[in-house]
This record gives sequence, C-alpha cells and structure tokens, in this order.
Amino acid sequence: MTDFIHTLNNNVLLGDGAMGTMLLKLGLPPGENPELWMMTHPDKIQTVHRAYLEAGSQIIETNTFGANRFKLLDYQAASRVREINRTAVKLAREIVGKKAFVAGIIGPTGRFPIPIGDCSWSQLEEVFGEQAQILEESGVDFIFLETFSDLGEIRAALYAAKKYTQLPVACSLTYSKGHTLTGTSPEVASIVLEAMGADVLGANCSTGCRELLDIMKAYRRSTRLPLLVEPNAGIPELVDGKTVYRETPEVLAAYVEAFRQTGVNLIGACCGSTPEHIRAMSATLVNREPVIPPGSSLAAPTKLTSRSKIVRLGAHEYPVLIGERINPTARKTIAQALREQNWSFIVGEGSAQLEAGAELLDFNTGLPGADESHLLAEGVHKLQMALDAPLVLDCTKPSALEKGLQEYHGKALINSVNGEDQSLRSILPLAKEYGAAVLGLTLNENGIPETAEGRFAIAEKIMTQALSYGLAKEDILIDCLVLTAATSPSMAMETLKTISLIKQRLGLTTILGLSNVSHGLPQRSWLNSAFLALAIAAGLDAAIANPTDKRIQETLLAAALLSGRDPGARCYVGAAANAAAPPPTLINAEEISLSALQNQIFQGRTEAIVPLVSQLVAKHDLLSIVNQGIIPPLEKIGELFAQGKVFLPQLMLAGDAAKCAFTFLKEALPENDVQQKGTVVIGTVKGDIHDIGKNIVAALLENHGYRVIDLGKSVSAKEFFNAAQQENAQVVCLSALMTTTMVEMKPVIDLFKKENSLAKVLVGGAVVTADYALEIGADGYGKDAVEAVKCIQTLTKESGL
Amino acid sequence: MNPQALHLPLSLTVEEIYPYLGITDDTITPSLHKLIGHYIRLIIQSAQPAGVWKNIEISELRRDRIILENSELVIEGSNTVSHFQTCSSVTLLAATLGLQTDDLLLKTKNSQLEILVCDSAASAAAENITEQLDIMISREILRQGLYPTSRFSPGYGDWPLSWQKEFIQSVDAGQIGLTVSPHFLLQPIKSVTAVIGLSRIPVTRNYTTPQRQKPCKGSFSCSACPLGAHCPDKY
Repeated sequence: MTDFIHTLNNNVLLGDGAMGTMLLKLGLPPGENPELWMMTHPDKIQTVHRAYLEAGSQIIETNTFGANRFKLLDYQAASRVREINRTAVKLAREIVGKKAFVAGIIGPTGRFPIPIGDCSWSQLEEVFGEQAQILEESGVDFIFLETFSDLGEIRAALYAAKKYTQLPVACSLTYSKGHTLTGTSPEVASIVLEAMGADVLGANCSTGCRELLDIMKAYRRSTRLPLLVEPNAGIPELVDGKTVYRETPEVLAAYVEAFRQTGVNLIGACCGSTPEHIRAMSATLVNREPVIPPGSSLAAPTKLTSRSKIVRLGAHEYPVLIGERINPTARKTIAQALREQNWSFIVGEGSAQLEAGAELLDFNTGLPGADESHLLAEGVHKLQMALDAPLVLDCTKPSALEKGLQEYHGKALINSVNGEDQSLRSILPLAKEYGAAVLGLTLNENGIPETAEGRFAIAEKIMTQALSYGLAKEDILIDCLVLTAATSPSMAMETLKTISLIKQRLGLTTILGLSNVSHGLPQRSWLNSAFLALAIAAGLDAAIANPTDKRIQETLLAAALLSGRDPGARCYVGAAANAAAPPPTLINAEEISLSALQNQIFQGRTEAIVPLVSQLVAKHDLLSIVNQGIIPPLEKIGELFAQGKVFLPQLMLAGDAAKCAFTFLKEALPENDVQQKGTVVIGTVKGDIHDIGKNIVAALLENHGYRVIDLGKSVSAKEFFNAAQQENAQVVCLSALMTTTMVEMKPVIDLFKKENSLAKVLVGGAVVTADYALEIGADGYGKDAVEAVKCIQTLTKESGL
Repeated sequence: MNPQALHLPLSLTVEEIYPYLGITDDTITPSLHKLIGHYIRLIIQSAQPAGVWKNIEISELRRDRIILENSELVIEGSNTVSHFQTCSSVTLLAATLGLQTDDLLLKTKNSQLEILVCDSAASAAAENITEQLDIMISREILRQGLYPTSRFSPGYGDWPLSWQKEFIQSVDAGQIGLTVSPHFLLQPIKSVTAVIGLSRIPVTRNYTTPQRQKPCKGSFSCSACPLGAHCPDKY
C-alpha cells in the first residue's frame, strides 16, 4: 500500500459514506450497538464496504466508531475491544484489498475530560491508545479520529494515537454554528492540533454542505495541512408537514468542486448518506488535482490559544500584554490564595487583568513547599473554565508542566526553558508532544551573559535545539531578560540590543518580563513604562507586566502606534475616545434650563443631573422642576417604550437619571419636602421569588415621585394588608411570574375586600393577563412597567390625590 | 453510564443578551454595551454550569398522558402529548448555572438596570447551556437513526409545572444540585428542565434557535421575552 499522506497530498481522494445509516437499512435495530451487531452480521458490514468501494470510495472506514473501552462498557462488552477492532479491520481489508485505503475509525468515548466531565487524561490516553494500537496491528493505513465535539478529548486521542502508533492521524471535529460543543472554532482547532502533530484536519457530521464549506474555508485560512470533510446528507426533515431531503446525492455532488477549490483533499459523507451520494460525488469529481494554498511571504506569527480564543504575537502584530499578577513569589495574597486553593480569588485576579487589557495570562505556581503538579493542573482547570485568554504556564518543573499541559485544552506557552542542556532536554520534548510554544530565557549554567552577543548565542542555541525536536520556528520565543536598574543601570541597554539582534538575525518572537527593571526602586511604574516603550522600539512583541497599571496601558498604545504596529491608529484612537469621557461640567450657563434637564434625563445621563439641578433650583421653583423638567421626559420615553421605539434598558437609564434628580431635590431642600404623589406598597406574592419585574415597577414609580414601600419577595396576604394600613397606602401592587404562584394573588385581594380597605390592588407579572386580573377582582392590571405606572396614576387620582 | 453530568464551558456574546433585554436592533450606546460585557464576564466567572440527561423508555402513551418506564414522572396534557406521538422513548435533560450565580444575582444591587442586565445575562447563559446539551443529545439521536423533537418543559402548554419535582428526580438532577421549591420553582434560579422525544419519523423542530421562539409560559416576563412584539400570544 502506498503511503497515505503522500497520496493525499497529490490527489483529491473520495471517502465513503455513512455506516450506521446503511446498517439500519440492512436490519440493525435502532438504538442497538453497530459494533456488536457486526460480530453476528459480518456479511452486512462487508455489503456496505463493497457498495461504497464500487461507488468510487478510495478510503473505506472501519466499523469501529464506538469500539472503545468506554463505549463498549455501556453494553457490558469492554473486554471485547481487541476482538471487535480486529474483526472490523479484517472485514474492511478483505473487501478493499489494495484498491483503497482503510481508515481506522476512532470516535469519542461519550465521556468528557475534567473539568467538563469526569474523565482524567490518563484514562483517555489509555482508552484511545488501546484502540489505536489494535487498529494499527490489524493493518489500517491511518487513524481517523472523527465526530469529536470537545477539543480536550480529541487532544488526548491525538496524543495517544501518536504515542502508541506510527500511523498518520486525521482529526475531524463536529461543529454547530461555527464552533464545537465546547466553544472551539476551526481556526483554534487547527492551531492546537497541528502543533500536536495532526496530519490531516477537518470536520464531519455537523450539518450539511453549506455550513461545512464555511468551516473548511476557516480551516484553510489557518493551516496548510491537508483537509478533510464529511458532511451529513440525506437526513430527512419535516418542513410544513412534508418530509424533505435537503441533501440529495445531487446537492452533495454540487458541492464537491467547491470543497476541492477550498483545498479539501479528502471528501466523503456522514450520517444519512448512501453509496448513491458517493457515486454522484465521484461522477462530479473530474479534476482530482489538489488546490494548494498560497504561502505567505511574511514570517508566521506565534499563535497561542485557549479553547476558544487565539492570540497572535510577532513583528507584524500588535504588541501584547501578558498579565503578570498571578505570581506567588511577587504577591503575598496570591501565595495565600494558592496555599488555600482559593480559586475564585485567582480567577478574579485573572479576570481583572483581562478587563484591564491583558491578552494572555501568566500563571505561576512557584509556591515553596507546594505540590506544583496539583496546583498547575487544578489552576488550569479553573482558569480555562472561567476565562477565555490563553495561558502562559510559568513553571520550570517538567513533571508539573506535563500535568498542566495535559489538562490545558488549547495551545499554551511554556515559561520557561533556558540554555542549560538539562533544561532543554526536559522541557522541549514536552512542548512538542503537547503542542505548546516555549519561551527561552537567555541564560545558562553560567548565569546571564553581560553582553547582547552573549545572550544572542544562548537564544540561537535554544532555537537550534528546539527546531531539532521538531518545534515550528514561530513556537520558539525568547525572553532577553532585564536586570534591575537599581544595581545595573547600563544593562538595560544590553537587553534592548539583544532584542534587536534576535529580531534581525533569528526573526523569533520576543517577550520581556518587564517589571524586573524597576525592582527595588521607587515609582516603578515610571521605569516600567519607559522601558516598555524602548523595548517595543527595539522590536519587542509582548511584555509580561502589570496590565492594571494605567501608565503601562497608555505607553503600550503610544509605542505601538509610533513603532508602526497599529495600522490606521485603530487601537490608539479607539482607546483615546474611551478615555475622553464627557466631563459633567460641560453644561454652559445658557444650557441651564428645564429643557436641558429634560434632555439629560431622556438620555439617561445620570452624571450630568446633579450639576444641572443644583443650578436650576436657584432659577425655578420646585414644582416646575418636577413637573416641567423631570416628569415630561419620563412620560415621553414611556410612550416610546410602549411603541417599541426604545428598549427597556434605555427606559431604566432615564428612570435612574430622574431618580438622581429627585434624590438631590429631597436632600438639598428638605424644608420644602418634595411633594409625594402618593404611597404604593409593592411585593411579589407568596412563593414567588422572581422580583426583577416588581423592582422595575418600584423604581419607575419612585422616579415618578411616588413613595414606594417595597415588601420584597414572597409576601403573604397579611403582610400586604398590614403594610398598606400602616403606611396609609393608596395602591398595593402584587407581582407573580409563574402560573403556580399567580394563584396567591386572589387571597390578597380577598383579604383587602373582607377588611373593606380603601387601597386599590393592582396585579401584574409575566403570566398574569387582564382577564385573570378581572376574574380575581383586582382594581387594575399592568402588562408592563410603563402601563403599571399609568394605571397607578389613574387609581391614585380616583382616590382623590 | 446514564445519567451523566457535564460541566460545559460558557461562551456568550453581548448580542446574545439583546433578546432578553428586549433589544431588537444594534443601536445601543457604547456604555450599555460595556455594561452587558461586564456582566457577561461576571456570570461566566460565577457560573458552575452543569447539565445532566437521561434516556427513558415510554411505557404507555395515552391520549392525555405519557407514562415512563421506572419513573414517577408523567408527561401530562393532551396538547403536550401530541408532541411525542411518534416517540418510543424520551431524553430528559436538566441544566443549571449553580448557586454561585444565584448569589451574584442577589448581590447585584447597583441599580435596577444593572440588576436587569445581570439577570438577562444569566438567563442567556442558562439557555446557552441548554442549547449545547440539546445539540449534543440531538446528534446522538440522529446517529441512532431516530429524530429529535423540539424541547418541551413542565409549565409549557398544558403540562403542569407541578411535575417539576418528579422530573428532577427522574433525571437524577440532584447530582448537579437542582431542587424544587414548594411552588415548583427550580433552585438554583437559573436552571432549565426539558424533554426531547426520540421520534421514529422526522418531526418539525419548531424553532431553529430555541431562545428566539419558545412558548412563554415558562419563566419570562413579556417584556423580557425573546419573542417581544412578534409573539402571537402577547397579552
């Protein structure tokens, strides 16, 4: 058999179609395990293989999708893994001989890796390794990992297939709306899996051709590896009462050329497809010449990813901030949090750095006496679940790093390796096996060389060694190291020279642990930011720094623009616009008018209200401010809301602004005592704990000048009544969100009636209708907050206020 | 292996929250956009999203009720039963954001707007997790040569919410921390239960994106309902 990858690189090959669909047609009962059924119906499996081969398939897939230990365990057949896989390969090979390639199919286990599910890396490695090894022994031409929906699981499968076999490995994920179940895009998948040594990448199952064509284009933008696609086809849908087959053989065939043009070299079909589909595709696939993607003249950037996000670093990219603050050596609070395993604190620290502008997070577990393997693995679990930034694993212990890399569902940066042979030998293989990039420090057993040339020599050694281990050049990064200016002020310039040398002669991505430069000196931010600017000018691509330092943020923006790395000044201008918040004092003397107040309230600009109202009280009496300044914009926005022309948040912002004005008037002029329009008691009825709607109505009422007694959630009839009596309320508002709690409204109304209370009862809430309000004897009903307020205005007028 | 629990990662865009805030176009101010983004981050940080599902055979399909095998749960209501006429089994699913999100919702007190934004982001997150589970379960159903029905929950149509307790027991939702209040509300608050039928013939999934078209008898107020003005049953 000729080499599969060689053939695939030079030809577009046709895969086969669905196995399950065909077996169902041949008598497999729905819900039964196709692999176990194969053991009693081997002829049926061969019938399917033969049909696809005759239809033109050049790759025949073994019936082993669920033949892993975990899946078979569901059928009490875990002990039959070897027997089933061997049989499946034998059945396929007997039919195809040397006329086609045999793909050893491995599907997902149905279990998910920690922290998504409960499966450990070693369990997954064992299960996938076992199946891959048996498939290789039985004579498949390559391993085909298909229909995976989680990047973490397929990473483990790929790792195991590479470790336990010599075969090429194809990796295929399944997508919905552009990403996998756990949030991975094709771009992220290709970066992560290519770095781990995948030979072919692609997508199967998912949906039909149209969506998968977009997925394949996304893959093509981000990798030069051969691609594969196997769309679903022939699954009937019911549309307007009619059964519709959207993906007929003709439709599928029509997409074949589009896939080829996109650079897909293996085209097959998945669920629902039949030999008819393959035959139609084969007929259309006249030109079998692969379309090779054009190469780029620019050096490839370093790409790091989390499960869902990509960050690029390099000479043609915007310089990146790496958050340095999760570091127990530098910060006692972090040390304590790590010691107590207070992960929500650590996650909060990460989140704050991302919000401040960091794009990568350095995670350092160097806590004296701690089990770093455990901390790194556990921290990786927590951080990758809550935050989407790629991680920099800051640890030099190979055993701990390995654990962290196993658990990381993305492409991490290892921080760090150095020029010592021992360090290179232990760290570089990990980077290769687990598909990570590596940061090399320009030091060795003799320390940090004083000269730029000396450091450059170490960087060159690290690069040569890393390349020999098979790392891509863009995955080798260098930290040129800076010493504190307190003891060696002249050394800072050597660091800058080293950066320039490495950029010019090696073209590697450079990173700097920035804050060291100011160690032991006052006003560290001055030095850090100045050095950041100098280093970016010298060609620095990323700084490990404190992103919450405003000066660092501003310096990065300015230096990126000045060094030509912010095309069109987009980042700079965007940030500058945000920084220039309108000062509240911008109101001119002539703008101090009631109509200006109306405007500010309408636009919900709470910050402008107090300065404006504080000047208005000198010119206008209280009643005019309220009736001509505050109420009209509230009514206007209420009307627009009712017409669907403004949205709830805008209504509420205006409400907040009005409240701001009322509060100021009350506090500034207590002797005048802002006249209350009336008193309203409000609450959700017994058993109902959903209070958002009730709160909005309460806030809106306050904004309109009502005195509101909010009784909160799950209020009993008696509590409503007592409060109404005590506060002398004109209106009582009852809110309920669910049909099961809505029934609690009637007892409240009944109690008020029984006691002959003068207070009016208004009801509202998601499930409450006008009819229901009438039925239970309520005095009013509000379908939304604005209508509730209107209704209360009417009711309070009726009560003579 | 059935039932199994999954802790799915959350990923939400600002635009996904719009329907819950009643926003129907893209004209919101940068400050509101930023506020929504802020609460999305808080929700993702606080949430411990978990889902669980279980396949159960139908033992008896009557005109007005479906009896399940080895389960106290009854799918009740003649309108509800019509959704599952062609099914011989169903998958029950339950999902929750966990108690920490409830805490966050309780602690958010800055302004009514922020409370609403926080709550909306949490609702969208719960829907997002449910949708992820739905996609996975549906894929499994299709691979078996069967067809998934729409999701349907206690409290929709004529299926009384009072079955919620039996529902969470049947799917063993206790393992993801789900309980039911005496008024049949789920706790933690941001939780979802739903059933998907395994149909022998293709059926209409009457929504493409469930969050945009779902019956409103559930937990939405009309103003927060994704359907907004387009709802045929708007009161």
